[in-house]
Amino acid sequence: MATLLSLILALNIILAFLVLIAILKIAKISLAKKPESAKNTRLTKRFEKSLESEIEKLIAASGRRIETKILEYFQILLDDAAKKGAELSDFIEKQHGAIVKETQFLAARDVAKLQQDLEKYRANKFVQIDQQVNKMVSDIAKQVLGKAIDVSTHEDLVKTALERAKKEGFLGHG
Amino acid sequence: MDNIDNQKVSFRSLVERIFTADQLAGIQDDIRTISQMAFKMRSGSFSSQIKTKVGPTLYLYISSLEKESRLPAAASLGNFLAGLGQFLDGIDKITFTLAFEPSLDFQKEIALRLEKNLGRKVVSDFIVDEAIIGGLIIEYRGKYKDYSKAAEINLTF
Repeated sequence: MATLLSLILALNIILAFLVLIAILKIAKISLAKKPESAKNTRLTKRFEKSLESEIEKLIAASGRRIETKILEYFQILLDDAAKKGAELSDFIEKQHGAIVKETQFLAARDVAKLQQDLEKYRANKFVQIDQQVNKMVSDIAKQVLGKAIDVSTHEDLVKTALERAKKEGFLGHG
Repeated sequence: MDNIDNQKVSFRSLVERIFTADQLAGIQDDIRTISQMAFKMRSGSFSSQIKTKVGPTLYLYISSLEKESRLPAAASLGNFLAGLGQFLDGIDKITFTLAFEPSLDFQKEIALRLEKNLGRKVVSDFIVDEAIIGGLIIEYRGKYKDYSKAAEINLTF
């Protein structure tokens, strides 16, 4: 855009310079000859027309050149915009691909972690259930046995235990 | 612990009647009570003075010594009782946890069996805990051993 403005400014300067040259050319003609007043008036009119014609030609030529240049630059701008658009599209496509890959990776990682957590949870639950079952069986066995043993059997169990303690050297000689 | 018969006056007849930690603690209390009385002797026999102050075991022991004229004289009675107290303090205690309330005969039987095994005088402390189901748990000189049926069941499951 800045280039376009610079070009327009340069063309305007050239145009102004051409106008100035034309004025000086005409002025030189009028200074060289000193016609009489009537003749001078006709000459002046003719000069004005000639000058006007010259200026119009110059302006028309400059306008065409400016128009051509503007069109060229518009074309460059369009090409540049199209190129940038294509690059942006490519960039978006690549980013989209990266996001999809990252999302897939994160999802896969979460699934793996979830599976591990589930395995741990299941193992812990099995251990808990195992302990509960053992405790229940143990409690029932204790209740049943505790009620079934009479004093005589209790005394025998104590004597047997003392013998065992003796053999193990816990009480006296092994 | 000094030998039971090494004393000038034997402690055997007293110690043979002690089987449990409770009995031992009772007699130790009795000895502390009559030790103070030994320094304030009044007329009459020492056994008659302590009859209402102590339990039957110590009373019978003192009384039998008096009858046999083996009880030390008033001047040395304090030392004798102090020696007896020290001897009793040195007796080992074994704690048994049982699943039932043991009869006195059974307690005595256990105590005699232990004395035979260990080769020295010991007293037993019995604690009842039905949760052990059967058998016993022994605590002796800071050691602990579980010979209960509950422990066996816990090992099984």
